[in-house]
Amino acid sequence: MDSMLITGANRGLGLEWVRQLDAAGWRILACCRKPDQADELNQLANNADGRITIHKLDITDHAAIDALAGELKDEAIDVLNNNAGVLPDRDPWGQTDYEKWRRAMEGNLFSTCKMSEAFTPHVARSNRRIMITMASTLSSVSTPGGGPLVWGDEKHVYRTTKAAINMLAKSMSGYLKDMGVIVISINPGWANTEMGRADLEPGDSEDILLDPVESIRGMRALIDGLTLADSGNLYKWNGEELPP
Amino acid sequence: MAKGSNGRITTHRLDVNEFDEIDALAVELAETPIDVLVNNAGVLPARTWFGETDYEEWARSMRNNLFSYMKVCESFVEHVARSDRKLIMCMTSGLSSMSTSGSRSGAGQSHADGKHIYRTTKVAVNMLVVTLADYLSERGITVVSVTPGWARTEMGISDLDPGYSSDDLVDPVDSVRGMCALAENLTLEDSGGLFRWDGTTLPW
Repeated sequence: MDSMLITGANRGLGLEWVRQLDAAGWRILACCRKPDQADELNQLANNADGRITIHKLDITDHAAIDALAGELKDEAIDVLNNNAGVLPDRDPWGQTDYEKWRRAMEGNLFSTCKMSEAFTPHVARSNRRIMITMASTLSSVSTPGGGPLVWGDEKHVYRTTKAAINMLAKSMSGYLKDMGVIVISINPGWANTEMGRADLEPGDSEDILLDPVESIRGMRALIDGLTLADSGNLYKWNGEELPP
Repeated sequence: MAKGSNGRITTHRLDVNEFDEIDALAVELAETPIDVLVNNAGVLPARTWFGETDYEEWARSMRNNLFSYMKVCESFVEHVARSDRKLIMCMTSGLSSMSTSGSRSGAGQSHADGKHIYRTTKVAVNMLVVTLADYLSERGITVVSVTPGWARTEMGISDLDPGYSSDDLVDPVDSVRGMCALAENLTLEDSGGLFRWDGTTLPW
């Protein structure tokens, strides 16, 4: 049975991952900060005959990550999905909040690295051996990818965390190649989730946002076709190449 | 050098990790136009291999290599804006390139050289620079990322790849001469660019 460990599984794209993989019969290790408030996730788990287990985890708590990795030491994990992340508030020019920047690095970058370090053995003993990191529409250094404000959209804090994640994925692909582990970074698209809607400009319609069902469907097709030669690549949700 | 410069060179005590000190220096120099602001200070963290990442070191490196650059730019933007040249140069690294491994050694075919901390701080600098270029374009300020090359300095020599000697490193005289020539030639149209010390562009 294919298995995925996913962080941020209680809402948004994470929850849609669980829905689709549940329907496809996967074993899912669903991590979130507050399982007792994750009603939809609990409902899915209750109807999954034990295939879905829910694990309380704050990915900025490295000791908790180590503890969970130890608790799950006998599990093989085909796909480690570093899905959870934060979208910090905007910082107008000259008003950068440096403490928030540090927290954003912890929440998006350090957490992804720590999860990947802790769960390398579980992934290495699986069949598929895939790790995913979450890029962004705004993570490319070579193209702004955003709205009308282009680069100067007051999101330099977020952008730097996501560019760094892409670089981390490149480094990880090199470190883990000998173990046969594939590491890719995927931009899931600007999706119609709570986080995605929070980032609309005034006057924007939700219609410009990507349907989460389509985003996850695209990413599933992408990971189904991966080989070790693809490791270190950056992708969009639909399988297209994401510029560096 | 300062003593022999007839007052053209002034030295200023500054730890770029102390943001209050940056603000204080900016106020102290409130009347001084600055043609070229060079964010040069940075750290090269010790190599750590995947599985042994030192997260405290990573946080410190982000502050020293990335956050401090932004803070210096925020604090000194008015000094630069009132100068003639209006140029900000942020030091990055060949290892900041996503599309090339940026390393000289054969092992550097991949990015797996124990420098993921350093690489992530420097690609983040490149990202910061393209955003800065946009924020400051209306004020006529040019902002670029420049890699000084792997130079024969204390920092460069401390980090030789196996099989390399200090003779393989760039002479600091050549590096700085190249960057000075680059600074002379940059225009607002180059803002946001990623350059090598010799004036060529480095792929993202």
